[in-house]
Amino acid sequence: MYEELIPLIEKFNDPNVGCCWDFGHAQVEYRERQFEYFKDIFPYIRMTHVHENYFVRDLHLLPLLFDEMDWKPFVRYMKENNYTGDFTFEFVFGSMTKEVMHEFLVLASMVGKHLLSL
Amino acid sequence: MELGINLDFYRADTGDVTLEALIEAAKFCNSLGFTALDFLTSYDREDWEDRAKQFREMLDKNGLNIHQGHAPFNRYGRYESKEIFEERFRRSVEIAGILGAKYIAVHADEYVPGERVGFNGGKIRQMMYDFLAPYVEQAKKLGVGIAIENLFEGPEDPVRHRYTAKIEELISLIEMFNDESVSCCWDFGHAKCAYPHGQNEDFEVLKKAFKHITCTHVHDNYYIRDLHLVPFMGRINWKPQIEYMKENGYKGNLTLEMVYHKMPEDILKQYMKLAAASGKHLMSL
Repeated sequence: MYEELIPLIEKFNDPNVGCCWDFGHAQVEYRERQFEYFKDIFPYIRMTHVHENYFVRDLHLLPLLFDEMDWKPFVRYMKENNYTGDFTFEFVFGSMTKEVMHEFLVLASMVGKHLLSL
Repeated sequence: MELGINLDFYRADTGDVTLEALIEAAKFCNSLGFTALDFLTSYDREDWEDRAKQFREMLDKNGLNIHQGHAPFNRYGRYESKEIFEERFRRSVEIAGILGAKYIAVHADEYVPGERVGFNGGKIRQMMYDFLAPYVEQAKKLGVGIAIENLFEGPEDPVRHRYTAKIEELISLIEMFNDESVSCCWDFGHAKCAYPHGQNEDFEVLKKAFKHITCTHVHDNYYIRDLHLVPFMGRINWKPQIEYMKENGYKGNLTLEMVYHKMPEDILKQYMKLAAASGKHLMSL
């Protein structure tokens, strides 16, 4: 729970200790309340794990496959509040050949650029 | 063996989509290597028959091929009445014939359309036989085969409710018809959901159904969720299954069945390219 995350980060009282916000994990845990908690913890976010889920399982899916998450408020909030970290996909599953992986990475790149344009 | 895809993933015949747009979509799929399409024009419109005939002319003019289609299903109560559902089903078989499809995939879990009943396999098998029998005859006259699809039950469901989630039920129903026009549409993704244990439990049941398989729905998944992902994005062990099918003389196609996306057009086109690359690799196994 994010209430556990903030006190732990603050206990270090060290600018080198921040939060990696995992959108997919937050989606499983908090569902429609994710944006609310995201804003609360935002001052500590230094980096991200970007992925989506479906059927409330941690599936590490490419965003825009399922109609599960509205990325616009998150991306806008990050831009408006001068987020200086990266927007990093975290994929886990699959066993693609080089040729298939190439097309997947092109797709992922297009999806990422689309999300960042929101 | 050809590579196919369900055209309605890229462009469905809904709303005010024109036939011209559908043909352009079919041409795009064809250009990517999907030479055997899975598609039916809309059976919900009043001009469904003329529309199908016009589309067939356009397909022929462009050298395009519809290999298979999918009949409607009413398990989730989409249709207002049993009569409306049955008429849509009838229309879908007619459309398959008009478009030149060889097979139409059907679900055999419509024992009481739109409702769940207590599970009695023998009784349900008879109900499904009675439901499908008139469509089998209708399809035969049109040169179309009815292909019964293997289904699955949700992992959280403690109670049996979905006939043909078990391989014995699927085979039993097909063989009850004792008719070479009634076969199996093998859905790889559903098989993985229904038989998820180890690396090859789904392969073992494919072998049991193999002699009945005439067409396929190809998609991937993991965590027992019916995700309809592109092959190699999930955990299905494709190599032994495709090799087995080839070695044992499978004469049908490998037809991707994609369902989910909310991508803008340019990104969707790239997703189609990924699907094509994945499909071509699958064919090469």
